[in-house]
Parts: sequence; C-alpha cells; structure tokens
Amino acid sequence: MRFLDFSLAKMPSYDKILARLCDTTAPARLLDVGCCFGQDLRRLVADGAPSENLVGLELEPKFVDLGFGLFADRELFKGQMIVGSIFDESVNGPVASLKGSINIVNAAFFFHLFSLDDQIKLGVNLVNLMKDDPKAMVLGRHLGSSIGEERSSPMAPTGKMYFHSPDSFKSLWATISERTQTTWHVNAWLEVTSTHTKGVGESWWTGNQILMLHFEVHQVTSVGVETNLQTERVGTWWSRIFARILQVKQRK
Amino acid sequence: MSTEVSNLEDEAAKPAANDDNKNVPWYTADEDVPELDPRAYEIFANYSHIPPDTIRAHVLKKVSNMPAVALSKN
Repeated sequence: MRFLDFSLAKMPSYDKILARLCDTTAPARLLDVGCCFGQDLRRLVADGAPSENLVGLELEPKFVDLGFGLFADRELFKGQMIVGSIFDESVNGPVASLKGSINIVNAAFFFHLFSLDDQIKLGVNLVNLMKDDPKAMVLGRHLGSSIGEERSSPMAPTGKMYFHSPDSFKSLWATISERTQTTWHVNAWLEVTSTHTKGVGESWWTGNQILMLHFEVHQVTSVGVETNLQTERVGTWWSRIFARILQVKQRK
Repeated sequence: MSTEVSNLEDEAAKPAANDDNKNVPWYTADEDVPELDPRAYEIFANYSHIPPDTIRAHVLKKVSNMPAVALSKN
C-alpha cells in the first residue's frame, strides 16, 4: 500500500525536520504539496510534531476527506489542509495565504507528474511560498532515470512524464534559482524502485530503466550554506550502489 | 481545525452508486493487499485510536473509496 508508505520519514534529514517542527522557540512550518491522504503529515504528528505547524495542499478534495476518515482525526488534526493547486497564482486564491510562510516543503511523487516547463513553474511557486530561511529545504522523491528526459508513461494524466536524472534535476533547480533570484544546493540520488502499479508490467520498469530519484534541496543564503554533509555522503553512497545494480541488470 | 474542507464528511467521499469499476490500475482486491507496515499499525492504533483487531478492515474499507485519480498518485 504505497499510500501508507511514509516516504518523508525515510529521508536522511527527517530527524532534523522533526526537531525543527518541534522547536518551541522558532518552530518551522512544513508544506506537504500534493499531500494525497496526508499520510506523511500524520506520521510527523505521530512522531511528535505539533500539527499546527503542518500544511497540506491537495488538488483532489476526496483525498483530503479520505485522509481524515482513514486517520480518524477530523477533530484532532489542527494543521491546515488546503484544497487547491500550486499553479494557482491568483491573489485571493487558497495558496496565496501561504506566501513567505513555509520553511520546509515535502514534494513526494509530485514533480514527475508534470512537463519540464511546468516543473519550473512548480519550483518557482514553491520558492515564493518559502521564508528567506538559511535552513529552508525542499525534499521528496519521484520517478527518475539515469538519463533525464521526457517519456511516455501510462501513469501520467497527460501520458508524458519528465524523468529526471540527478544532473537534470540540478539543472531544473538552477533555472528555478535564476527565476527566483535565490540559490539552492541540490543533493539528488537514484534508487531502484519496486513495481506497485497494477497494469504496468515489470518490463515497463526495467525496459525504461525507471528508478526513484530522491532529493534534498537546501537554500543557500548570504548567512551561510546549509549543506548536510552527512546527507551528501549517504546520497553519493546510494547512487554508487544503484548505478552498480543497474549495470548488473543491463548485462542480464 | 483551520481548513477549507472542514465541512466535508465521509459520506461525501464515498463513490457514486455506479462508480464500482474495479478494472482500474489502482484497484486492489482484498486478498492482494499486503500486510500493513508495523509503523502504520502503530499510527492507526496509537494516533487514530482504531482498535488493533479492526485496523486492517478499517484500512480496506477506506481504500475501497479511493477515487480513480489515485492513479496519478500511486
């Protein structure tokens, strides 16, 4: 059940994120963009984060409602659950109220839903919602590949998905940085993914060399570079391991 | 709860009467659903206060209400 796969908790910076959300003197605010049922938000709360510091943004209202039913916390969860689109730039829209208020963005299984041009808009809009915080971070995972390129996909609403490699994802964030006049340090790495989606056979995954791209993107400010060196090492290590696995699979 | 969807109720999330098409990629028959992750069980038991012996049934019931657009998420 991938919708109960708490992907945020598996990220290298999870403990740091949890500590920032629990900091009573200067609590961080986290946005889960495309939060689906809000499972990552519930995991944060179960691990001790005050739900008041959490915001979920989801286009599909049924997902939000099903999340409340699934976790039985309609009265308990005190965070914001916003039904809306990250592409909605209207001044009075539901997303506008978040401008400049977010420290951390979780974007799990989200970027890959869009074309490269829309991913740039997505990134720019996310940055515009964030505080000018030297510890600001965007992290998550989505389908990727060792070669960054747009491909046909039976899983995308448009039939097309842009599969990023670590290098193409860094290029994406270079463009986002340029458009927003901000600077971001990208740590991205590939892992082998399991096949969960019915109707999409094993051959589609292996034939297209589909991997999972994980990323942690840290803002670089004049105050200092918030680079998690431990995360960097872990990411590099995983990249090497899975590049080796891919080589073995290709030989078979 | 400061939310734009606080007026929604579970009933609203149920699929329409004719929305029972199981021939969609996201549909998973009960017998095909893998066991829940132990951490998920803990959250349903300790955070959601679902009686432990009903957690699986609770989750399956909610999964059955997943809309077709879940395809783009899973």
